[in-house]
Amino acid sequence: MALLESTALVKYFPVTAGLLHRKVGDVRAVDGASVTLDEGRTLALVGETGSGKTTLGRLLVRLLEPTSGRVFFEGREITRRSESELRPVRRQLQMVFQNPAASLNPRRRTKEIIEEPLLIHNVGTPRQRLRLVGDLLERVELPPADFLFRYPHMLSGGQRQRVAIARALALSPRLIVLDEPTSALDVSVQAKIIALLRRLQRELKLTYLFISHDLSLVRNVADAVAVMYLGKVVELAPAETLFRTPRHPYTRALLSTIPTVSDEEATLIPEKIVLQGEIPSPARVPSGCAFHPRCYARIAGCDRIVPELLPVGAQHHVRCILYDPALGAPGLPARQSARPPHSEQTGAAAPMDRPR
Amino acid sequence: MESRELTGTRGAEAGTAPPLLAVEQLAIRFHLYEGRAQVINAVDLTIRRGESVALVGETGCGKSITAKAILGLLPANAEIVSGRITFAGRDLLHLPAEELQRIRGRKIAMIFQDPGTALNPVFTVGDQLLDVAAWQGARRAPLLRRRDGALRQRCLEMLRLVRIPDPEGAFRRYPVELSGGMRQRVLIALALLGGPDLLIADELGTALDVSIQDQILEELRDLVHTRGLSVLYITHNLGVARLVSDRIYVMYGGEIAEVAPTGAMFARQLHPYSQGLLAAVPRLTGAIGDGIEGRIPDYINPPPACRFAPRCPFRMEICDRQRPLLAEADPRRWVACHLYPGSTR
Repeated sequence: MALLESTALVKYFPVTAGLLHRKVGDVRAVDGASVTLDEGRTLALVGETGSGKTTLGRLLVRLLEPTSGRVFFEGREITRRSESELRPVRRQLQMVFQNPAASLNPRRRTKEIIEEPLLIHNVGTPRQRLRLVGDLLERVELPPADFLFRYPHMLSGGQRQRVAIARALALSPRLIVLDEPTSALDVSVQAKIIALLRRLQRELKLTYLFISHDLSLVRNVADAVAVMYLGKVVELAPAETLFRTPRHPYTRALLSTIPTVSDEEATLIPEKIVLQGEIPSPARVPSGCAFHPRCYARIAGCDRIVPELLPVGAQHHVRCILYDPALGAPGLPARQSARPPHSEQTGAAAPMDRPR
Repeated sequence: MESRELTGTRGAEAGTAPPLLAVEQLAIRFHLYEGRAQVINAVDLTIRRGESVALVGETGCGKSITAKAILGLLPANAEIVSGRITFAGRDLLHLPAEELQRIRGRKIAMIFQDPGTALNPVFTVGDQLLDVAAWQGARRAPLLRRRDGALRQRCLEMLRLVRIPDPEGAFRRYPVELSGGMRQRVLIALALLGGPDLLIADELGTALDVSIQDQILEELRDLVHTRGLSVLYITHNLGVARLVSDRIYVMYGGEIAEVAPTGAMFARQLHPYSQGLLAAVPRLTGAIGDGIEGRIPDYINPPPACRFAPRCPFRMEICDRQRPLLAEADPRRWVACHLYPGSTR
């Protein structure tokens, strides 16, 4: 069952200029995102800087007001509710931020940090709260006797993120938005935090929205993956499917550029696809398909037709006209390597001569 | 990826020639309020001409300190206790400041990590390139010299070399007007201006998105190969190290744990730390290890012998008694661990 669902969610941030701050344009951070989070599962939002993944995450738990579109929690709309009506829902939706050094108040001790949400929602007596904070610390594998009265600077990065997770768990939420929860950590610590998050999900039947730019990590935590590009979900699929048969040209390119540590991973995407240029500013979104200026499989019409999210398999959706049945659904060409074979093997052509 | 076989062997051909850079038994301590931190401990590292070496390890392992020591850029509270650093036959640690200046930034150049902050925001890209190109001593070059057309050409040439699409335009722009990827390219151009023999790249590209990171790393790799440069990549990302390096040094707790040709390292790791580190990297095929228990050593009171012992799943009695020596365990592979007979005295 869908715990959280959004339909055509849009968030534009105005761009102002001049003395009177007149609006001169929009940054289209999120541009029509419909996603579904199933209870007890993990949906990952992946994308590069500026793809709108963090904005979408914040819209879904109403940390931001959408420009248009609706969000439903347990089938009931939460977009138009007032802040006081929203309170009971807020308890159910919690967030863990990227940088635990910045998301924990440096002047508060662990106990106060974890207790804060309980105070805000008037939970228990001081004694009960202290016991609860102790239990939460146990849950995230920090012995309370050692950690209750430490300041954030006395904790390692991994321990800080554990405190942030304990704080998110304090109100027994149903859903946690994890915004790049491990990207500030070393891999050996990251693996520990991921193991903890998985265990908590199992034990507490939690639903996760996992926001990350790291596809290798997403492969290991998500049940379903939404790939975002310039505010739009361009591919949505169960994790297994997405990594075995990526369909969108952008997803394929993204997968092929990840530095890997084993040869088995390289066989997933045999051909290397180097994208031209960089992701455009969301204030100047290209016409038609937003990805078309960088796309190596571009056909006539890509610069005009705004593609819809089309079904291409079981729970697998792609936003690309190459899969549009109305156009004959040509699909991706078999070999879409966007560049000549590597020059260094022959030792000839200097890199300067390689066409851009 | 196609060059994997190639990169595995290229370093060996240089065989007997003296290395371009040799760090021998380097030990550095830091004077802190809390006490004396023994950070770098007996580090050996060599880079041959035309070789790309990656120094990998996690936060706080001392990899950046090692790079700073090579460049003579250690902070004031650092003290080099012992060891030698030789570059092209010259002892960098005992060079007069003036001579070191002539090597640093010219023969040894650094590609800085953060494209957002490494460039001065109030000067144009061109100004900053010209400044470096015209540099002739401790002072800023006179304006006249910086107006020199030939210098300008050389700077534009560098921007072209690092594949900046519109070099003339980029030359006139301020850093904020360029994207992160373009700024990183400018930083590479800056490093290449002096015609260096050795490049030191600190966490190159890790602040960028993967698709841009990949472009830049591959382009630099090609550039380095065609010009026969040596590179020291400092990185925590094992995938990046695998992509760009011929040999890998794994560092833990201020010591070298293991050295191996890149291909061999990823095929099989000898040191328990390398094993744990690689197992913790999430894979696209859907596998992630358990991570490593514990945390990096306290440098003020480091473990008495092997610094990894407190976290090691194979810890033995000798590990707390005797420091393991970096010894050849397999041909061209060196490891500092008592599991291998050569490491025990």
